[in-house]
Amino acid sequence: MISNRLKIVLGIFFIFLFSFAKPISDYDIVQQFKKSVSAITVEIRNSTDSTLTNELKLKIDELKQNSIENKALLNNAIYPETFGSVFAKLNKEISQAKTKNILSSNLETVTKEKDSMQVVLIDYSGKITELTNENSSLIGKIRVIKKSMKNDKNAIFKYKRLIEKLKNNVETRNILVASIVDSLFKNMEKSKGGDVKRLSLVRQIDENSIMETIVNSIDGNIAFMKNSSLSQDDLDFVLDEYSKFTKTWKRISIPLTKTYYEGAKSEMILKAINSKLKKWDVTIYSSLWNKLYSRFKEKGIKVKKFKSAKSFNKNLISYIDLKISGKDTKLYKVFRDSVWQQNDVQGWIGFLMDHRKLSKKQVAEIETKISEWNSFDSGEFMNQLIVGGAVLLFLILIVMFFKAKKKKNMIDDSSINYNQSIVSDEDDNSKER
Amino acid sequence: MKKKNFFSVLIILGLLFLVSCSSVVLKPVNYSWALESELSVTNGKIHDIRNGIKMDISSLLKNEFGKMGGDIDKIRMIRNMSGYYFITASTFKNVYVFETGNGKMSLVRKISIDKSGFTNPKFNQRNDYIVFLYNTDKSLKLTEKGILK
Repeated sequence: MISNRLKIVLGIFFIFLFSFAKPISDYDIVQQFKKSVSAITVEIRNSTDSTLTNELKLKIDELKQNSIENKALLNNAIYPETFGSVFAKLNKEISQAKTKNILSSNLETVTKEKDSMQVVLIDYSGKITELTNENSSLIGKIRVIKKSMKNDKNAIFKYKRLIEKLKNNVETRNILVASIVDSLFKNMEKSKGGDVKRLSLVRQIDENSIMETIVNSIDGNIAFMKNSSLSQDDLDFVLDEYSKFTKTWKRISIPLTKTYYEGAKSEMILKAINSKLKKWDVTIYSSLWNKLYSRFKEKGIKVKKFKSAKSFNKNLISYIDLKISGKDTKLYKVFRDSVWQQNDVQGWIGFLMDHRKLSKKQVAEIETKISEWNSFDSGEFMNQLIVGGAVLLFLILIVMFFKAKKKKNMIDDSSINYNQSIVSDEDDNSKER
Repeated sequence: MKKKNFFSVLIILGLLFLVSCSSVVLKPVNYSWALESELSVTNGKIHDIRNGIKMDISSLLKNEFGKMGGDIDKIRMIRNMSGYYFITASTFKNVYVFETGNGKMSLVRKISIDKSGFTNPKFNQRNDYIVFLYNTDKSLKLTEKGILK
């Protein structure tokens, strides 16, 4: 409860205070307002990040609050503008600044991305070129060594080492190509028709080299396939690489070709690369069929050449049929032991079956034929065994016969001698008498 | 006959007089400017673009400072509700009140403010009067008739 006296004193004090308050000019109010608006506008246009923009929003609100009591004066003084239109303009400037900041930030990000993409592209492209050149040299050496490799352990060892090196290089190159593609076409599959800005960016920094790189990479993988020993490891490697490559290609093929080419040319390039990929796929299995055929041929099994499961099945069965009908069992063991049951051959057959290039039924039919050949070959053997046995028995009987005869003769001889000795004794006795 | 003609002429003249007198009147009119104008003086001339006034104030300056005139950079001007113009400037001693005429402005009153000259003059529009601020902390209420007490 404030006393009346105190109220009076306070009242006088405030009146005294306000009497000394500086009178404010309308003109100054308007000028100050205009200055504040101008300063805020400049700050908005110069702002570079969203936090600053938010601070400016607060400043605008503060100015509005502070100026509201002079709204009538300002409306008259700043005609044709109004108090409201000034703040509407400021708010518009703020939202434009925000948009500008976002775009600038995006531009900065895109520029950074572009720079990093360029670095990756240059660095990796260089490495890819080195690997491609090295691989060409390795393939040359492999081809030379293959010719002289038959019984030369040293050459075989060198060949294996070269293949291993080539495989590693092919794998490394595939990884580099995939990295380039990922770097250039990150998240491409998320945009329905391709990110237009991103595509133009890619086009800016990469002048068709990625297309060439992809084509060379496919060719490199095909060359490896043709020159490798096709061990189980090699086959797994080749298929794995093919699978990875085709997955990546599926993801980026359309935006990639559209980046560099338009209309019909884009379709043409797409078709050409798809065709190369098909060739890669075909080469994997054609190389296997070739390897299988070579193995039979090396061992003197003159089966007709096969390139598919159908011809493999047909030609092997007809070969065995021929042997059976001709009662030719000479090569049965070679066929079975030196070719059919070899680990690598069985491995290839298993691989073809796993990848549905050869059916279990087709293999079973061949094995049935082999068994038939086996039983035919066993029958002859049995005959030979029986004949042999009979001959042996006959010989044994002859030997026994002669032995028996000899014994009999010996007994006869010994009994004659005995009789003769008795007779002589009797003579002697008679003489003595 | 002559009387009749005379009256006819008189009636006609009277009617004409009435017609000329009964001009259209618009009122009330508020001539006040919301804000004073601060105008640069160039060769004794000012130009208020906003309010559409251009004039030579050399005679005003001579009136304030003598024959030589004064070296004034800016003058301040406002118009009150009644349509009178109040003009002054820093270092002036007076506020001048003008009314408009045919291509001219005529001095109505010279309001003496500070004999030693004032600084920082400002006009605030208050419809019934003009608030005159000067010397940073002083103020007066002015009309075309002078200082309001």
